[in-house]
Amino acid sequence: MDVASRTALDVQLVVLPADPEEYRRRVIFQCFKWDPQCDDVSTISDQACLISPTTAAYLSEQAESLSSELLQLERVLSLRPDLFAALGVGSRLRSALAGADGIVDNSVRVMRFDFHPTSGGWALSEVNSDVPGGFAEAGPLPQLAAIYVMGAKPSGDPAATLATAVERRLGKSGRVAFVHATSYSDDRQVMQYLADRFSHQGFDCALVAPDHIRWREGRAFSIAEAQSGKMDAIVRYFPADWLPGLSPPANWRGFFQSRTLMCNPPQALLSQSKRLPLVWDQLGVSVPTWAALLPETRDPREAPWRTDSNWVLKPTFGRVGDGVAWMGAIGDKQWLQMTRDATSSPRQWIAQRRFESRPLSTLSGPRHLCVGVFTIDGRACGFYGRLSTGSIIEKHAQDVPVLVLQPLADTPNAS
Amino acid sequence: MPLSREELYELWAPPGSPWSLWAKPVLFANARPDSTKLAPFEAGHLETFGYLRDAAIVVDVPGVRSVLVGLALAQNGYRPVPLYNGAAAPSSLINMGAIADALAAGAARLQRMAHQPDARPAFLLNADRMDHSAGAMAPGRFDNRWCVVPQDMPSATFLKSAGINQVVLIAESLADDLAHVLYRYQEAKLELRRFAKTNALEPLNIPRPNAYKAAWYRAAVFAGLRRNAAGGFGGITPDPGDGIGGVGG
Repeated sequence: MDVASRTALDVQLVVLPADPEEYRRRVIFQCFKWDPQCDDVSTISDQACLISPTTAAYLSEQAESLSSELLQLERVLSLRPDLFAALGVGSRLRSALAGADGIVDNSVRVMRFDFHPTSGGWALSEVNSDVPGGFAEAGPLPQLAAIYVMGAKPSGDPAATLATAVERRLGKSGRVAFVHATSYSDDRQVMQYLADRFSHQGFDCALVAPDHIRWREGRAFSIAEAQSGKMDAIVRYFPADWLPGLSPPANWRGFFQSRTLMCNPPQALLSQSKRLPLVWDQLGVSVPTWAALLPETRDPREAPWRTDSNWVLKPTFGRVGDGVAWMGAIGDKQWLQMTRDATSSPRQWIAQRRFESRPLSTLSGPRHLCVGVFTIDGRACGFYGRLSTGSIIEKHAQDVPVLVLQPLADTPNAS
Repeated sequence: MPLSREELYELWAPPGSPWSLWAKPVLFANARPDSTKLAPFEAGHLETFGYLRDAAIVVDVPGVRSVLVGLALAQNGYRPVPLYNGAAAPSSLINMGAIADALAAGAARLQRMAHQPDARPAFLLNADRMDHSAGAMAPGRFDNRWCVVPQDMPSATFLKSAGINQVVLIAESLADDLAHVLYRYQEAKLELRRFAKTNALEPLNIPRPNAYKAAWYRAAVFAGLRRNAAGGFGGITPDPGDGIGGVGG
C-alpha cells in the first residue's frame, strides 16, 4: 500500500464530549459561525476529525506542491490570453486580464485545496484559489475543539498566517480593506473575523463593498462612509468573476491593474477555472502532483456524462458544491436543465471522472469528509474540515474541526 | 451588569427550545448588550391574538416594531425567534443597529416571562430588509439589505412533526422572498392564515412565486443584493457570459 492509500485510512471521527448547546454557542460567537443552521440541519458537527501526523504531513506536502505548480501555471497562463476563452472566462474579464500586468509578484496568495478520502487514497476535488473561505473553521474552531480532545492539537491558523504575510509586505501598520458582498451575512462573518484578527495585529481595518473602492493611479481608495481613505492592502472575498457586474462609477477593471497589495489578485480567476486542466498541455509546465491527484477532467463535449454516471458535471466557476451532479444523482427535471446548460454553454462546465468518497462511520451513520488544506504564499497553514451525509459537500455540510493526533510522548498523560 | 453577547443570544435562543436552532446570530454578534431603550408599544389588536396551540407565527413588520410585536406575542406564550440576517454597521442602508438595540433592551422583559418548553414559535423578520428608497443609492453607504430564503426556516415536515398545522402571518403585505418560504408550507398542506387588522384570522392563499424552487433562486437573489436604480435586485448579478456566480467558498 502506498503512502496515499495508507493515509486515506488514517482518519477518524470522534464525538466531542461537550454539552452540545454550549459548544454550538461557543462556535457561533468564538468562531464567527453565523450560519449555524441550513433548513433543518445544523451546520456545526458535534464531532472532531482526528488525523495522524503522517496524514497531516502528507496533505500539507501535497497542498504545497499543488500550490507551487498552480503558481507556475498562472504565470505562464497570464501571458497566454489566447487560452482565456477556453477557461470559460467571459469577454469582459478576458479584456481586463489581457490589459493587466500579469500576475503581481508581490501579492499575497491564499489557496485552499479540497481533499477527500477514497478507497484508493486521497482525491483532490478542486482548488479555491480566488476567494477561499474557512479561516475561522481552520483556526479558532479546532482550538476550541482541542479543549475536549486529549492527545490531539490544532495544526496551523490561516488567519494569523495571512496577517503575518501582509505584515511582511506592509510593515506593522497599514490600512486594509476587506472587500465583500456586504449583504451576505455568511460572507460578512468571514471578513469580520479576519478584520478582528488583523486589528489585533495592529492594522486599521475597513469592511467595505467592492463598489466602495475607487482607483487613483492604480492605488485603491475607499469611499465608504466612516471608512474612507487610501488603502494599503485589499483582502478580497468577492469572486473575481462577479467584478464586471459593478456599475459605474465603480471601476471594476481597477482591481486588475492594482498597485495596491492584493490578496488574492483577480488574476487568480485563471486558476479558479475548473477548466484549467484542459489547457495544461499547452503551457509547458510540469504538474505531476495535479496529474496524480485530480481526477481526469474533460470538456463536456468530450466525455460520456449523459450515459455514464462515472462522470460528474461541474460548473466552471461553481462553488460550495452548487451545480455539481451526475446522471441519476438528482431529479430528472434538474438534470435535464443541467444537460441543456452544459450543451448550450459547454465552456461554463467541465466533465470530471467521479471518485468514490469513502464514508467514515459515526453513530449517526456514514459521513463523507472533505479536508480543505490552506496554503498562504505556498506554505500549508491549516485544515478546514466539512462533513456531509452525501458524497457532495454542499451547503448542508457540517463544519468539523480537524485535529492532529500527537505522538504518545507529547500527550500530557502519557506514561 | 450588562449581559454578554452570548448571554443575550441565549435569552432569545434558549437551550431547550427546538426553535433556537433557527435564530440568526449575526445581530447578536454586533449587539450592544447594554442598550436599555425600548420604544413604547401598544399591543393593540395583538392582545386579542391569544395562543394557538397548533400554530407557528411569522411576524414581518418594519424595523424595531417587529421586535415589539415579538415581545407582545411572547407575552401571549409564543417563543420569539429572531431571524434577522443583516449586519449592523455604521452608515448602513437598513437600521439593523436599532433592531439589535431593541433585542438587547427587550431581553429583560423576555427574561421575566416563563415559557413552556414547547412554546410555539413566532419568527421575527423586519419587513424593511430590502428597502429600495432613493436614499439607499447614495455612494459610500453600507449595503446591509438582506432577504429570507427557505433554508432560513424550518421545513414543513419539521413543523408538522412538532404538532404545527397552521402558519399565521402578521404583516402589512406579503414580501416576495417570504412568499417562497410560505408557498412551500402551503404545498405541504399546512394551513396559511393572516392576522388582519380586523382582529380576525383570514385564510391566506399564495400564488406560485416566480422562480419557485429554481436551483439558481438563492444565488440570483443574493448575488443581486446591491444597489439597483430599477428598485429591485440585479445590480450586480453576474453576467452569464462572465461566469456563473456563487458565494465565495
